[in-house]
Amino acid sequence: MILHSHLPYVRHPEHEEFLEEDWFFEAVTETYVPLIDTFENLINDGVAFKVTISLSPTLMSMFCDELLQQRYLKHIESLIELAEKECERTRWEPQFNSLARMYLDKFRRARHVFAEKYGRNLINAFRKLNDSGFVEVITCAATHGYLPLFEINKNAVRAQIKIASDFFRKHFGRPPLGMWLPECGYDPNDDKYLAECGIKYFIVDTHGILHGTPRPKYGIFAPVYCKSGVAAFGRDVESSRAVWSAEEGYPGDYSYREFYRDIGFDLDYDYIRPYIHVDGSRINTGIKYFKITGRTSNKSPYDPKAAADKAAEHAGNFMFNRQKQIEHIHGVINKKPIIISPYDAELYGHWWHEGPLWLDYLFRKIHFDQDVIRLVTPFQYLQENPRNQVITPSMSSWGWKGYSEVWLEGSNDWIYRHIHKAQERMIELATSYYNENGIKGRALNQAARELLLLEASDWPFIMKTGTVVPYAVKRVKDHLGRFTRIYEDIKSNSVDERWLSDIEWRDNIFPEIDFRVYKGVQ
Amino acid sequence: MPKVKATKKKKNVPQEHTEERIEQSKYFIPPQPAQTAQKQEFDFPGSYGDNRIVLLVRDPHWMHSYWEINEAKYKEVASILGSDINRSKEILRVHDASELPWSSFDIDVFGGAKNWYINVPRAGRTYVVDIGYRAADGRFIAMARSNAVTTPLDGPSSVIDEEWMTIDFERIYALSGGFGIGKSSAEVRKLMEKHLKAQRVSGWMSSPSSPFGGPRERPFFLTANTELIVYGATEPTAKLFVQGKRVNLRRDGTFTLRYALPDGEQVIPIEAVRDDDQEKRSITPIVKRHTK
Repeated sequence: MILHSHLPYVRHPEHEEFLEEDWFFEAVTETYVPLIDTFENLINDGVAFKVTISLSPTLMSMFCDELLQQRYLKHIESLIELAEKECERTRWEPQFNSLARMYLDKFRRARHVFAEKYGRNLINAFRKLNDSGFVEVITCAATHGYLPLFEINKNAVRAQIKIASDFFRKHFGRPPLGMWLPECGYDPNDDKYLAECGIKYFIVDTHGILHGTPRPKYGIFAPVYCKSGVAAFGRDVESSRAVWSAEEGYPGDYSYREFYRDIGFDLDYDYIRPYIHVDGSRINTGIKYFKITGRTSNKSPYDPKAAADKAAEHAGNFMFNRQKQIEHIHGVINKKPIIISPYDAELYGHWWHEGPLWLDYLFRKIHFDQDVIRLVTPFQYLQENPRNQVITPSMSSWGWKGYSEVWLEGSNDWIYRHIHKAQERMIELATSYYNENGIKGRALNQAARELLLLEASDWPFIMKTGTVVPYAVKRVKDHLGRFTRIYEDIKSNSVDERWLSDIEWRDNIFPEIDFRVYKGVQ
Repeated sequence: MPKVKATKKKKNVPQEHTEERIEQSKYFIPPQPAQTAQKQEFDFPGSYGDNRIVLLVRDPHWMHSYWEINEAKYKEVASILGSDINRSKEILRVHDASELPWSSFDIDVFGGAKNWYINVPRAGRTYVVDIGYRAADGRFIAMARSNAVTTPLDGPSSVIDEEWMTIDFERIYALSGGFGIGKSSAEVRKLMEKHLKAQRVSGWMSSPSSPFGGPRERPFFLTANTELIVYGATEPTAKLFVQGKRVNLRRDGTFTLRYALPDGEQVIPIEAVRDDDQEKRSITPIVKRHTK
């Protein structure tokens, strides 16, 4: 099981009120804290399990950021207050009252884990889990850039990987064992940059392996080595579908909690006003009282016990299916197969409320109830099975249609001439000004930061899905604008220190970045 | 899309957290910042003055190309072609450079386009693109040549490694989910992601009637609920109990309580006790709701 966690670096210190850091706060409360708790309970109960978690560098940066930590605390305290009021308000409605108490406990728990247990920095929690040996923490490219579309400037691809690896090492004491390529976006030979950083494996989508050259003898049921020596694992379709499918997947079960019935929308406006958006528009609070019930807008109150029973049943079902799948494949290929099941972490807890509970049941069942299959991490599998076929995987991604269309189509193709130009200029700067320090050195480092933020795949993704396009365009414009100005100022020897300090404060990601990573062999 | 202004609104109820109400959506548009980081507004440059064409791979059968040809180059071409320029077309010449000799086909680019999606019938090939002018007599004046790219295969490789041969590759391919590539799993994930992203905006962009059921289709509907507000006042230093439970007073001794009111009867004993415990007062409203 691989859980991939990413958020774009969204931090607007210049705005006190209109911040869309809310997604980060929700993820902390609804996904990260529940997952951390789940894994710790398993460890305390002596359950042998293995899970791989990828944390993107931008997400890790947000965990460490003092401003966001402060804001999260305020956020969760406000939610606690809301939950307390809800407990009062639902006094004559026992069904809702017990749910209100459930949320109050949940928010209090989140606050405790975040503030007291881990000193406001959840990286401490992940480090502890990583050290336990049961959870393998890896990372992905620096700002989640979609690498196959940067191939024309290989140094930029290399920099995304190297900066991520260095950043990870700073927090976890060693380079990551594996890397989650953003969107599983792979272009042949990118793996050599992974090899350079000492990374041992990465994940590709199914056809990355299946259409690799030469043909993979074991399909996706064994890893392959690229020519560089880095291993590639292919995603399994069957186990993905069991969870991801909008229709047949577990999360759609009628007894699970309904995501779209939130008190932020359901309750009287005057009551909920202080807890929704400051401009008055309703938003999700996280307190939801109804279950999916069926294809109807008449939803029934959520019953946590029934939902938990369902989660246990689904966990049993998943395990049973994996057993059958693995037994069958073993019969066909005569080798112990590995099944790679990667998911977005935010599926667990945030979208699918019972997700973390399902994981808990699943891991316990696998440990206590059987001995046909076991959980492993990719690195562990490589250690136990060091001999594998050498293949060059196909260019591929796990995005819609399996290649690069999501990030390269009518709505977003226009950004690439600008990104490529900026990359080219960054490489030029790093080469020409390699020995620069002082204020120019600072500017050079800031230029690198702006470029990285410009390269985030989130922006073209938003443009394609059409949600908040103006924001994405603004981010592209801001970062390109700042980069371009730094470039021109450096070349004309006119770096404005005050302006530079302002930009350093706003775009403060990767404090220890070294621009020299952009110079190097192509 | 409506813009949101950065105004502070006064609230009726005293709240500790008036500022920093946070928008739900993952990607939300912030309003214009109070101080901008740039002295002058930056705008995307129309061109960088380069003379180049870039080729990108999108998938096995599609590539994308963008280019920039500078004035000097156009003048050069114009002087070579002379009067022929009026009967010349700006074209992309797409070369399949997988092996010698190269084969190629032409695409007319018109309308002042500066980028193009190029469809190629065979997957897994290497391509290079030239941009230039083709004269009426067939002469091709190249203006720039692109980088080389290789498109991915659209099926299993025909190269088989003898050491790792298998008799039944098709079966393994099918078991691996090969016949569902690009479909089901990736598609439903995209759907779920869209739902996830959409719900974050739905609140902000929705009309005053709240989106029950979210972005799913919603038939005509009506919901109506009732709540009861109980309010009153006593001495600021008194202790207040409602249905036996202690309730906090505001500093001025007033209180407001709000309850969801279901069907049935609610008996609400309200009791105030003086701070020295020497006196008590109580009032017990009884409220009944039923739905026809």
